[in-house]
Parts: sequence; C-alpha cells; structure tokens
Amino acid sequence: MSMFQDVGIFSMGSYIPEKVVSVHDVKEKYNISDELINKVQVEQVHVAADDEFQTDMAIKAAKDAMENGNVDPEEIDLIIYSYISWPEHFIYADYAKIQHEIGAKNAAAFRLEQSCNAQLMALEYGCAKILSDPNVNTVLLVSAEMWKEPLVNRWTCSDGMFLGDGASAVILRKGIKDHKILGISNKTEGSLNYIWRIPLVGGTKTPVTPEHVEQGLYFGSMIESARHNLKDEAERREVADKIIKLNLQTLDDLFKKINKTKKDVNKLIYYNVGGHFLKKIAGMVEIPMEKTSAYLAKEYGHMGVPDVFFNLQKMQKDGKIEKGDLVVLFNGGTGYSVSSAAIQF
Amino acid sequence: MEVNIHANGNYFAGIKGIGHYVPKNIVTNDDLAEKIDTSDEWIRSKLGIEARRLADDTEALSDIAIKAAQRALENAKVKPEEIDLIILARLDPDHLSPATSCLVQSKLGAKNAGTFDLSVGGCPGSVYSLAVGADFVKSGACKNVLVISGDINSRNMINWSDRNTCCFFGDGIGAAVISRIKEDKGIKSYQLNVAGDKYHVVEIPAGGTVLPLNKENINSNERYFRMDGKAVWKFAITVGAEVVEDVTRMAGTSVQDLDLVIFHQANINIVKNCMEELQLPMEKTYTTIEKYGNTGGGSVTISLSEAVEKGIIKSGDKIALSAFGAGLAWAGMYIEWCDESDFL
Repeated sequence: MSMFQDVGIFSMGSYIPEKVVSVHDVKEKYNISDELINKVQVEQVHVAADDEFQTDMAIKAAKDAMENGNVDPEEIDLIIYSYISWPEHFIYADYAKIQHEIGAKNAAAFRLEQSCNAQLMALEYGCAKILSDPNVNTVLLVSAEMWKEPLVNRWTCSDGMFLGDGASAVILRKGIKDHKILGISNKTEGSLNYIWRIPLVGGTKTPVTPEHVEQGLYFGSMIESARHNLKDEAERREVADKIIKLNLQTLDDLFKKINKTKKDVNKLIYYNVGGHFLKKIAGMVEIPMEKTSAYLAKEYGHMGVPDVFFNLQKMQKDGKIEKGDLVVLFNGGTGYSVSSAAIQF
Repeated sequence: MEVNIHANGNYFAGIKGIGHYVPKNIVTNDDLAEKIDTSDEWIRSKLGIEARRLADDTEALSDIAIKAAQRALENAKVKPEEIDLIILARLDPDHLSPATSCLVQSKLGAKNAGTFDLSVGGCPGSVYSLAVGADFVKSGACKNVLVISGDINSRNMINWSDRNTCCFFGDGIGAAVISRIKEDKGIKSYQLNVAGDKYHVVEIPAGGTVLPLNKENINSNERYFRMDGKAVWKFAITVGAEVVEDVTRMAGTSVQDLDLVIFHQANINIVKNCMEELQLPMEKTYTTIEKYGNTGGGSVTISLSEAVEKGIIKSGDKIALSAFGAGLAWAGMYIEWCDESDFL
C-alpha cells in the first residue's frame, strides 16, 4: 500500500453578504447599456456591508467549512489565503489574522497570489503538501474578495462581467474517497502580462504619487488598462487567440493527465464572468450549458478567486452534482494564467 | 507545469543552483546621517549595518528578480524551459495585478512554467518559499522549481525621514533552483509556523480597502512600515534558534553537527543571540547584513548564495536556515548540501 493516500475535498464553506444590488438599479447611474446587460447576463451582485472587509468574510467562510466537516481548528496544518482584488491594508498579515481568528494555532499560513485561478493553484499546492509531508493531513484553502470604491467600480471595471463580493473555503484531506482530486493543470502565458495591469499605477514599476491619486489613476479598470495597452483591433484578436489557445492547452493537458476525454465530463464549474464567455468555454468542453455553473453568475456576479469553490458547493447543495460525476473546474485571468482541475464525485 | 498528483512523495529535493542580485547603488550610514538624525556608530552597534544597496529608479521587482534567477539557472545548468514552476516570494510587486511571477516567466523565457507569487510578511518568505518549492518537488508534482525571494524595500514601503525604520532596510533578491535528487539528502527537513495573534505587529495601513490612498494620507506615515520593534525583537530571539534545533532534530542530527547556520539578516545582535543560544561559535554563521542591511525575504537566500559563491559551503555540508518576521511567521530548514552528481 502506498505511503500516501489519495487527496480529496473533505468539506466546503462560503459566505455571501446579505445586501443585494441589481444591475437594473444602477444602470442609469453608471451608464450601463441594455445590450451589455444582455451580453453579460448578470442580474445582481452581493455587496459587503460598510464595516465588513475581506478577512471578515474569509473567516466566516472558513468557519462554515470547518462546521460542515466537523473539523477541529487545531487539526488544520496549513492555510492558504488568496484574492486578486486590493488587500485590506497595503502590507498586512491577513493570512495570520485568519489563522488566529479561526483558532488554527497549529497551522502554517501564507498568501498565494495569482489571478482568479489562485484557488486552483492553491489546490495544487495543498495536494503537493499533503503528498510530500506525512505529518500534514488537513489543509484549508480560503479566499475572499471585495470590490470597493474608490479603488474599483464593480459595474464599470470590465465590459465582460460585473463584480460581486463574497468568500469561499475548502478543506482538503488525505484518504478522501468521495471527492478525489484526479488531476490539476496550471499554465501561464507571461507574455500577456501587459494587457491588464491593474491599477495603471502603483507597485515598484510606477510608484504611486500624490498626483496619481488626485488624477484618479490609482484605480482598477480592466477596460482602461486594455485600452491603454492594446494598440489596435489586430492586436486584440491576436491576444484573444493566444488566450483561447492556452485555455484549450490547459484542458487538453488535464484530460491527458487523468486519462479522460471531454465526453467523460459530467459537470463544468467555472468563474462567474459574462454569459458570452461562459458559452464559449462550455463549447470548448463540448458540454451543454445546463450542465455548467453558468446559472450562478446571474445571481452572484464574478467574485474573483472565490467563484469556483463557491459554485462547486452551491451546485452540490442545489442537487446538481450526482455521485459518480466527473466535475471539471476551470478558471483564468490576468497574467495570463489559467487553471483546471478534475474531481471525481 | 508538469503535474503528477498521484506521485507517492518518494522524491528527494535539493538546491541545484543558487544566485542573488543586489543593486549597485551603495548607501552608507554616513550618507544617511547627512539626511536624518542618526550616526554610523549607532547603526553599526545597534544593527550591525555598515551600508545597504538601493535599487535604481529604472529597476522594478521583476528586473532584479530576473538577474538573480538567471544566475541560479546558470549555476544549476537548467534551461528556462525546463522549469515547471516559478514561485516569487515578495511584498511589493511590479503591479498589484498581474502577479509579478508572470512577468518573470515571460522575461526568462520559462514558457513551460506555471507561476504564483507568495506573500508571508516579507522576511520569512525566503525559507517559506524554499519549503513550498521543495514540497512541489518531493510530491512528484514538479521536476524543477525556481524559487525567488526578495524585495525592493526602499521604493514604496520606507519613510526615508523616519530613522526608526529607514536605517534597517536594503534592496536585494535571491533565487534557487530546486530539483530532484537520487537519495535522501539535500533539503531534508523544514518547518513553517505562524503566530497569528501578532498579525498586526508589522503593517503598512494605507493603500487598501480599509484605508484607501487619498490626498491626506499619501504623504503621511500611514503609507509606510509600522513595526513594533520590541515585539519583533523578543519574538526573533525566541524562535530564531528554536527552529534550528527543531529542523536538525527532525532530520535526525544535532545542532553541534551543523557546519553553517544562516539566519534572516535583521540585526547582527539577533544573530549573535541565536548563535549563543545554540552554543555555536560565530564562525559557523555567515552574515551579509553589514553590507546589504535587512533585505527582507532576500536575506537568507542572498547569504546562502554568497556563501556558496565564496566556497564556504561544500558538498555534504550540514546547513540550517532560519527566517522570521511579520505575521508573525517563522520558518526553518535543514539541508545537506549536494553537488552535481547527486541530482537526477
């Protein structure tokens, strides 16, 4: 018998703020056209309370996952925290705060930063850690996002999605038979890093100045960044082709690793971006839309990193995942970085 | 990234090549004393720093990361396309998004590598990222992992008129290629820890969702490092030596058998204190704080790289690493140094 047992998802948790804002209530204020609303197909998003921040949401999602799995916090060996939006403070040990607040006093913790696919990269490390260290049995992956002015406008940041707030968490364990991680594929095409540099200023490349702040340049806008960095339609097409190619390579690589084909996929769970993107990705996997998580985008919008595990838990709660299903997770974003994972239910 | 999630964790991992980069611009204590109320004598005696290196205005984090990474790859004799994963441990990125590791991947030509950035309070990032890289190799998920750790501390995080913080830091970065080895040596044991109740001890308050940058705070102390120096000192002298004892015990050896111990270069007096605690002579440590200051997540890897470069470390040497800082987080690692013939 192998020294290491298989690794799987032991329990999941989430937290979604109560407040709901409909796109129809803000469309005049932000000049959002009906054409865009029809294309994106997101009807509403959830919005954090004024006194609620990312770690507050992450802690609630982590506690929910612990409660759902009846996991004692002291059993957790490692916490990996991820997000793509702004941190609470410029330098802040948010991963350590989560460790403390959930009582996981035996856990190491750090923040893993990538694009919207960060939780799938974290999933890979969680599996690697469990496989490489016989003393590690329980790993918590947690993510939370908040899209707040004056840093970003959730409705106008992109013309391909509307942004919602929320958090999700997953607990991985050794020896899980029900929700086994069959394989993961993570790919980066770093040559596309220049398209979405958010915000336009800040960081070591272009340090933010008082003038930048006054001019409103320390602000996250995917539309502005792409407009600034892509010179013409030909370059847009070239970039789109590269992104599609990498998406396909990532999925092909996953299927090769798990010795399956697209035809074996029972459910596709991906991020809550615009409906037009979701249709294209479902097309790549050759799966009907009703077998995907696309219906959740309508109600929650794109939360960023938390999407995939939130959607996985919600689809399971909604009775849309059956025993024996091969579930494929897919997520990608700035960088350009893309991830896919296969879970056997 | 080459992933084989069903590997049985039977692989061993070692550092195949290591490199570092520090900027050319040298700032001495006397240079600082011309601008703020401090002195060379105070900085030398209290911190052990004589000078620090500061990045040129044209250098972003990815630029210095590339230089360290290229040296590590050359020393490892590994081609960029053979790298499966790049981990960049840092605080201040090139841009908030995308992850700076994506820029590094592109500039290096490491076209087959997945990437992510790792953040763990800066200073502990060196040993944390080496351990994460080792896990990917030991699990069988990757054959070659490029781990880079360090920061440009001087640009956005330090108030150059605050003598309580600006004397401490310098810029610099280290890189290591972690690869599979034939037998059980190399990176044998490591330990990662967090004392989450002290999460607030080091922070930069302004610039996030709680306190967005605005006209009022952009010129205030709220956008620079705040550190409870006493709490960090007390913590460092407690865990710095303890974690060395732990990882040597985990590897089945003893502190007295160590050939070299490298600590995070925060303060020479912390290093002295830890060596005393371990009952080891100062000859068994290697320091770079004198000439580079505290380079945060770079310091352990830079010191290790320089010790290798100078021939202080040879094949078979037993080495312990110890890093500590914001989080509060700390990490230790025990390595039996490998030569080329040890790698698969």
